[in-house]
Amino acid sequence: MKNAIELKHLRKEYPTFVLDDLTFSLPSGCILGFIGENGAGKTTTIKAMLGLIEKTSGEVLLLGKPPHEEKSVMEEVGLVLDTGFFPQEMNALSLGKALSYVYRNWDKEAYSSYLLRFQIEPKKKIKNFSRGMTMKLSLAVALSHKAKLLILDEATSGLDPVARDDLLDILFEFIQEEEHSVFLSSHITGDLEKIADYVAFLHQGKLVFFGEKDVLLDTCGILKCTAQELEAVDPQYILGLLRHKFGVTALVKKYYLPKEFTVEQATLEDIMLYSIKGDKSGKVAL
Amino acid sequence: MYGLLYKDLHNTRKELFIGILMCLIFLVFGASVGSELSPSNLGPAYGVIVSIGAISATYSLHYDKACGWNKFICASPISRFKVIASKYLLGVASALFFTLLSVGVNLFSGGMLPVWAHLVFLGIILLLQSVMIPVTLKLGQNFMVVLFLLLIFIPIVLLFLLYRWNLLTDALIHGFFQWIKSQPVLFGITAGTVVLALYGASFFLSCRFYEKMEF
Repeated sequence: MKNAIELKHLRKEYPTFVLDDLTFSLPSGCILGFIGENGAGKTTTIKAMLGLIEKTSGEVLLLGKPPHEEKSVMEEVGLVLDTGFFPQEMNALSLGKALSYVYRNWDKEAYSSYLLRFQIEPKKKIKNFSRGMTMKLSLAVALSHKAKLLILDEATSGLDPVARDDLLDILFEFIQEEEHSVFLSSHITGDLEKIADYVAFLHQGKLVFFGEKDVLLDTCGILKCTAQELEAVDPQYILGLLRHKFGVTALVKKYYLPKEFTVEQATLEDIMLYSIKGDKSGKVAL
Repeated sequence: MYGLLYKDLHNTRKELFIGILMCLIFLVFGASVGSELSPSNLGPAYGVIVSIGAISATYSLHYDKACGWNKFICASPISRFKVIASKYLLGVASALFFTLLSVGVNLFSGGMLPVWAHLVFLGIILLLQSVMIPVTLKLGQNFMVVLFLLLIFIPIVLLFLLYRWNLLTDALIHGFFQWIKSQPVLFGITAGTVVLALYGASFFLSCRFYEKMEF
């Protein structure tokens, strides 16, 4: 299986922050959820991937090519960033005309049909768009130049549940084509739980976990018990721990626990929360 | 490249319209002052034409930064070199447009200015752009506005002081213009070469700045 994205030992140093040795890959035809708290380095990773910032070291391949050296690969990469990036005085029609000269594979008819489908008024100025509309316009653009890889940075945050659901439906539809892939960065883990095949979890610039989402969710569980009861659990299977006055709740590797324990299903949010805020004692790498 | 120019023209057309309107206001004002039209009456109108011709190319740089377009275009198949090339093409187009506007003003006022005066306007617009485009790119539109005012203010103060200290006399100024008139080809070629060289150097400097910029 070809990889849509390959990061090898990617590193970016700032005076106060380091994105450290990121290595993972996204197989073609899959959706990768890129999670982490605000400031974890998600946007920095995306910028380094797209060549918007100079990486300190490491290698980035998008659809098998280094985008820094082979700009042509960006013909097949669609972007939806956290903030809109289109000229505010333009409307969707004039934007489409300008972009038809930027992308060789621009499909005017597809663009018109996406505008219609997303209920974007073609002659309304972009500065008057809501955030949801701006996101849909970005998506319409990304889908109209026959992108094989979509990169979305916090595209769902700030959207109402209906708009978010619409967006996820569109991504799900996009991924039906075998060679299409999606890299979706978000701190709204519920969205990723719905559609992601793989999850990469970033914390303070370091990759905490990368792997299949179902495996991760299947492996982890939430154990609620007293501090005394927890002593019966081998510390290496406790991934994170929160203490409160009624006892403890712990993120655990559920298949390694004694049978008498009842474990609840963990969500991506739990995994993120316990990994970031949880007691590190006895914590092993995910 | 065409797409970038189309976007810039579309995006800055309001400023272009305001610029033309300002030129017209100054033209009407110049025409209504005094009993007859003269180049000195129309001086402010020509000043506005040159100023707006020089500044208008920098608007698009400002808008690109403000709306996040730089992020998008630098992650597109278009190279950064082409992005900057489109800005300089826009600058040249703007310089030509406003020079033609000065020709229009001159014709309207009875053709008092010689043809070479319009070439001087073109040269000044390009010279100003060659400073302002890289400055806007590197330091932003606000700094550029301050610089632009200094570019106008400092020479005026300098000329005023030289004149006051009798280092610059009417005879000297007259002599300088006579020399230019007597050597039109030499002056034209020298000035043209200097402007083109500076414009070219400015382009490569801007490319270098833009290549290293992080978004």
